[in-house]
Amino acid sequence: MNATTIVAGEEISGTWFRGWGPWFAAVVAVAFSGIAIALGYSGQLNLLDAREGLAVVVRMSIGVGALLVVLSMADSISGMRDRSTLEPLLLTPITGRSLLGGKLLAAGSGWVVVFLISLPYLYVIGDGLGTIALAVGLSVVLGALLATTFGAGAAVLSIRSRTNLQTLGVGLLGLALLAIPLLLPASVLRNPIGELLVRADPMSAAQHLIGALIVDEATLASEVSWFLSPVLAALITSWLLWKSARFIELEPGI
Amino acid sequence: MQEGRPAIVCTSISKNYEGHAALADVSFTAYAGHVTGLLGPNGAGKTTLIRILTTILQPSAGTFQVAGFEPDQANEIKSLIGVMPESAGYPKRTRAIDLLTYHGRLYGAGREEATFNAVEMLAAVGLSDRRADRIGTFSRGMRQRLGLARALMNNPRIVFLDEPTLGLDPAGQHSILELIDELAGSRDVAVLLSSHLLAEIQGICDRAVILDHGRVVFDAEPTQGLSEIFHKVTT
Amino acid sequence: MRTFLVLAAPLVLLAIAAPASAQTVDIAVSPLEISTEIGAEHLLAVSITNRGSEPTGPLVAHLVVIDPSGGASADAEDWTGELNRPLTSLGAGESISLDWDIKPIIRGDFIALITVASVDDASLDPASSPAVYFMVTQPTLLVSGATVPVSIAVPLIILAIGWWMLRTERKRVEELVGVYPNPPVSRAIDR
Ligand SMILES: Nc1ncnc2c1ncn2[C@@H]1O[C@H](COP(=O)(O)OP(=O)(O)OP(=O)(O)O)[C@@H](O)[C@H]1O
Ligand SMILES: [Mg+2]
Repeated sequence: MNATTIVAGEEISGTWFRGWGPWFAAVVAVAFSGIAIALGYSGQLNLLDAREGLAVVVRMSIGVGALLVVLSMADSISGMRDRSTLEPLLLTPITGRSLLGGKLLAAGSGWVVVFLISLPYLYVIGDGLGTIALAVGLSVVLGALLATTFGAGAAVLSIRSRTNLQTLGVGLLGLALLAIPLLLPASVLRNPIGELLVRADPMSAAQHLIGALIVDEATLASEVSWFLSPVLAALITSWLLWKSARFIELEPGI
Repeated sequence: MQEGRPAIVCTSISKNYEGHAALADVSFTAYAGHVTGLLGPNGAGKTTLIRILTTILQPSAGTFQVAGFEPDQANEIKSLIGVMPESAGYPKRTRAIDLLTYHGRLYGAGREEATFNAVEMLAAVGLSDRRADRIGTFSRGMRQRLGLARALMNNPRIVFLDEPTLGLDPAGQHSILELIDELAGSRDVAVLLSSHLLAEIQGICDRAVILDHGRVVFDAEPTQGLSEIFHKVTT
Repeated sequence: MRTFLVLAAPLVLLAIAAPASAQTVDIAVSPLEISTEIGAEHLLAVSITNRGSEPTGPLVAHLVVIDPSGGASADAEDWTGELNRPLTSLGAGESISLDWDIKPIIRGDFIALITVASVDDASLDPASSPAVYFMVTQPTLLVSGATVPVSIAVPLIILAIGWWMLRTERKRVEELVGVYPNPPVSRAIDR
């Protein structure tokens, strides 16, 4: 077994066997149940509402998954620094890349669990819409891309921050900035600057894709260019993490 | 005293922090089978030196060899050394034996082997009956013992101990120093033991290095006037 | 007298027609009836023609959606992305074709119109297209019967898995305490 899998295994059993993992999963399931029951309350739904409901479940699985990954990766290095548990780990002969790779895999398990929980709900809400496969596919592809992007981004911050508070502060600010294009009215898409902004932000690009493909039933071919920024962002943040993890400092910038 | 193989060779190491020097031109050699004491008042640079020699801090100048490996062979060095850092924290919810098993596995041991070693090391530091408890429930001294056990999990050839008896009761201090003596004597391990207590060093060390303001002011056997120089440095 | 009337009639007609001649823009639209479902997109083909002998000057075309029942207000803005379409001046006899995307968003019967007005010439009367009748129905879907059972079962299954994990962990810890005998201290050090 290599170092990455050992770290991942330790972190995963820490979260799921000895930590809050199962209780968190139960809370997520209850939230999905709430959505499903609220949507199906009257026994019938108009098509548009059914599609919107399906999109909500997809957004939630991607969003909650990415948030989990962000929180655990933000804690990855600067949290250990704060608790003084980093030094003993740095003293073992595993590379920073294995350490962070293992932690990223373990953090990714949070997203995977949320995604798996969402499947039965996608099935009941999407029943009869013929878009379940699309919803599952989008959840997997966009979920993996965003989890990678935000997880790797948070890890880079965590490596470079002096304290965990700094990581969380800068990280939350970054997330808030990325969320701004989500709040813009749809009409900004009609001007080139607005469209560029929404396309360039992986969060709003993903949001657009879910709306366009699931709710508005656009064809994949017409929307495929919207995958550009999520893919690029995942590649760039992974590369940054690869570079940053080469040497992890005990006390950066002190 | 007869000298064994050099385990740590430290050549002109300096470390500067924003202009002020934590270490200035530090050179010394430590040998296998010997306990080398690293003595000095607060802020002398003991921790800084140990961090540099254990490859987790970059020196500003100078070089070193640990177990025959150069600074850029950090992973080779790390797999042969055991370190008890000055201020190690412990994951509170983790159980003692799990922490040690995890560390053993990070050095390449299989799960079974690492668990077996962990049980033995916990016994060696007197924590057998608490091995399945969460570390958060440990007293300060128990954590210190656990830190020592962790430092020895990979059966190291060189052991760095940064003030290992800090916070231990006299019996605990005695048993840890005895364990260190055993390590050097019967297992041919080189031990670098930092302390600001003269008695500790005098009792156990084959050789002592005194650091003062980042400089080596003494490097000889403790019998050769160690206490005079130490008193000069600390007063 | 009769002759006079015969002679005068064209003059009267001319006189009546004269103010009407200010309206020189003609709007055609097709189709004129659309039966559809909420959310379905439709294209209105609109053709605007200058019947006059003068250029019209800059124009603006506008979509109006009327809810004749007077109930739920039909907000045209929600039906199309482009409520207003500015047009350049049309020369005499010239015409222009527009495609108007319309997507009904509520159920019911509605009337849609395209009106055209001059941007800066008050003497040019606004023109209107014929009415387009929308009959919008709402497609519905029966909610899956599995919704409630699934919504109850999934959290319970997860709680069961969580409980199983807790038990596994507790067993493992008991084993750690019980199975491995405490080795004698000396053996550990001499390893
Ligand atoms: N990260 C840092 N940034 C700036 N200066 C530092 C840093 N770490 C240590 N120093 C300085 O380096 C010097 C040596 O510190 P070090 O911790 O090595 O001393 P020490 O001998 O271990 O002391 P103690 O007995 O208190 O543990 C001190 O002057 C300290 O202020
Ligand atoms: Mg120190």
